[in-house]
Amino acid sequence: MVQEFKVQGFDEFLSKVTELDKQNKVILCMFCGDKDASGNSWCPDCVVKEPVVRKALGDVPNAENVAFVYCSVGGREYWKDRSNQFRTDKNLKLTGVPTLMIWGRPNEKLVEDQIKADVISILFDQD
Amino acid sequence: MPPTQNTAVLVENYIKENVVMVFSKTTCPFCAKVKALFSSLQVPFQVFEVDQVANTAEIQEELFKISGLKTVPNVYVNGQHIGGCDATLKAHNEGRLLPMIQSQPTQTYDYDLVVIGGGSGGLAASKQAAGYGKKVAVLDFVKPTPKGTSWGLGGTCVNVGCIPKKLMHQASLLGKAVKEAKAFGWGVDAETVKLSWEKMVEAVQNYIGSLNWGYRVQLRSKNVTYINSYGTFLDDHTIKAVNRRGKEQQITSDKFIIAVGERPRYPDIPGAKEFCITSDDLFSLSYCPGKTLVIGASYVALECAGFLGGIGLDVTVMVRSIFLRGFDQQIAEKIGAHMEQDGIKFLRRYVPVKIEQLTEGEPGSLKVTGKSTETGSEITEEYNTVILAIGRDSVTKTIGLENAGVAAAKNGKIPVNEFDQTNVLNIFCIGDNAEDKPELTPVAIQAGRLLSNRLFGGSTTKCDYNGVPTTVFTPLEYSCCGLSEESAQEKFGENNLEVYHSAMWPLEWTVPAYDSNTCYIKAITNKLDNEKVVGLHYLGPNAGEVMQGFAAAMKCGLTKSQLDATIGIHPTNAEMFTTLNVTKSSGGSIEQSGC
Ligand SMILES: Cc1cc2nc3c(=O)[nH]c(=O)nc-3n(C[C@H](O)[C@H](O)[C@H](O)COP(=O)(O)OP(=O)(O)OC[C@H]3O[C@@H](n4cnc5c(N)ncnc54)[C@H](O)[C@@H]3O)c2cc1C
Repeated sequence: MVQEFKVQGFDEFLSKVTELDKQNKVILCMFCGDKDASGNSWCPDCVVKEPVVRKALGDVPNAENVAFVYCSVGGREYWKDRSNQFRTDKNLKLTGVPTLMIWGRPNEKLVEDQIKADVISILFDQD
Repeated sequence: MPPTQNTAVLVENYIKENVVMVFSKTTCPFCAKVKALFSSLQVPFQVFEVDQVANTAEIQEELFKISGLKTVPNVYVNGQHIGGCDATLKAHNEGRLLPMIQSQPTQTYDYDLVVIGGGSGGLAASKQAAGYGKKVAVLDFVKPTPKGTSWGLGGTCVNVGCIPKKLMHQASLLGKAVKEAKAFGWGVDAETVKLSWEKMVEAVQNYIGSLNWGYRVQLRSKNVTYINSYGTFLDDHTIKAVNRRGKEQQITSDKFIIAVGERPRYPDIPGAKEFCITSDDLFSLSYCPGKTLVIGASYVALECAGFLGGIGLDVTVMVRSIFLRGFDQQIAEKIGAHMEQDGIKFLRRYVPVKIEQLTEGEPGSLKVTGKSTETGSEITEEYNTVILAIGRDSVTKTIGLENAGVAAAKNGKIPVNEFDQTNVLNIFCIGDNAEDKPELTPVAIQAGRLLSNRLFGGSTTKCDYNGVPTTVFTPLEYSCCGLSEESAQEKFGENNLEVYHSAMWPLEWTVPAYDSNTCYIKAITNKLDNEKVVGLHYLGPNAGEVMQGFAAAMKCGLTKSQLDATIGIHPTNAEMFTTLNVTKSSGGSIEQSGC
């Protein structure tokens, strides 16, 4: 089973991945728009892709060594700001939500439409 | 028809290799009917248009020998003769046709299509084929350069060709723009503006990294198997694939496409491989090359020299004979002259003799000995970096072509027919490896897509290799479409041509007070054919953007009077094409002196 963590915002994200990194975990990160109190998201694509990703977690190789971090990036206003930390941090450089990536591989992201059931495994390819 | 194949074998092979084979003529309505039938049944079928080859009669004679039928259409399913249009429709109406097609007794292979080489052509072909539900694999493997440089999926254009070179050209143009900005009133101190080579390389390589990854994701989403291994033919249906760790697997496939591209040529002189780099190393070089010698006069040589000079390096180009072989020579000379004015030095009619290392380092220093091709006298000079750009060779000599029986020319190029087919019927070749075709990315892509459409989509559309526009991204850019003046003279005769030309002073060049007669345009027309434009040439800013639309017009048969009837967009440079009125033969002045 892949262990899952939910974090909110950049600072929480960073401290969580730093901690998991020390444990030598392969950290699969999913970045989505925030949900409100009743669970509605401002990002419709995120809502569509979340179950696709959750389903794929079942097929992840060496699951015991993998951690899944679900990160809510913030509200719409914050996200649309081009200078927000998720977009500018050199280890992330996000361009859209939802984004799925393994921590430490900023050039290998699946963004929005690229997140598909039969594509997600590419993140775990060795070559 | 495929080369080195006699007609009998050719016809037999077509019948044997294709589940549904239709011999047809482009003008025959019954043939169209049969093709429409197979299209509507959504079964792949191969068409041979016998009226599109020189030996039509011979082929029909062979068909007669085999089937007793000389007319077209002449249809075969799984090697069995069906007959003409009526017989085929009858077989279909009686419900016999589809079962015959589906009862494929043919051998099963691991893949329907294996593409060797994941560059411009290979990726396009594989994705297109997978779109038809075919089982497709693409092998891509990069052998590191002698310096150890290597790169990711996508081939030459993305990694060590079009993309990095245009971005670095842009970097150099921006440097120039900063200087021009002063003339327009910007308070910039152009002297203190300096480029960081490392930062430029990092930015360019980051973008390339994202493209490499994007291709991998695309292949995965389209269900194309990507194998990061080096492919070698074992026979015409089997290859060996060896990965970086030496692990080997055998793969069989019904069809193959060869698209392994080219790599830079090294001259056979001491020190070339040991101490020189090529364009394969330059775009990811971790240190600024410093004082640089570029050897060669290909577009790759001049473009590299151009942007290196543009970012402020001391650059010399060693040229054996002419600039830009194959391009319009009047313009090639103008490009050289402009680069020289821009501070790039030329050693003309010199060839390299040896390269010695003086000091190691990043960059180190090298001593280059060159020899004059005219007097034989030798010169020596020190440089930090020597870039070889004397040409590129197809890397087809190490892929086991002989095991598959694929014929290749001595220089590694593979002869193909108009269907991009080699002499072995299930093996095709596109892109830079195909003989006598323009070596350009969009050509490779178009050929790849159309080939897969024909192989798996029932299409008969062939790639049109004529009228391909192109651009040389030297500091002063040059684009053209159609023939150079030399080839036009050869093809139509000098007397049958009217050449219209003009110097051009771009508006954006006026304020910085750049020369008013450096940029140049030329339209070559055929007097015997209503002054149809057979060659269009543009030397000036944004050359690629200017030529693309005119290339479409030329595809539609553009004539000089249609150019004249076109209204320009003012103020632009491209509008000059609509007001060309000085012919070369008149000797009239083309000098520009303002509005
Ligand atoms: C410096 C430079 C600048 C260029 N600029 C332009 C430009 O501005 N515009 C333009 O249109 N064209 C340009 N070109 C040309 C363009 O890059 C090529 O025409 C194009 O890449 C050809 O595509 P291809 O599919 O034939 O081969 P390639 O793109 O070269 O791909 C072949 C691939 O096959 C791989 N391979 C080789 N052997 C094997 C094997 N046995 N097994 C598996 N894989 C193998 C290679 O490593 C490579 O990845 C430029 C080229 C260079 C060198």
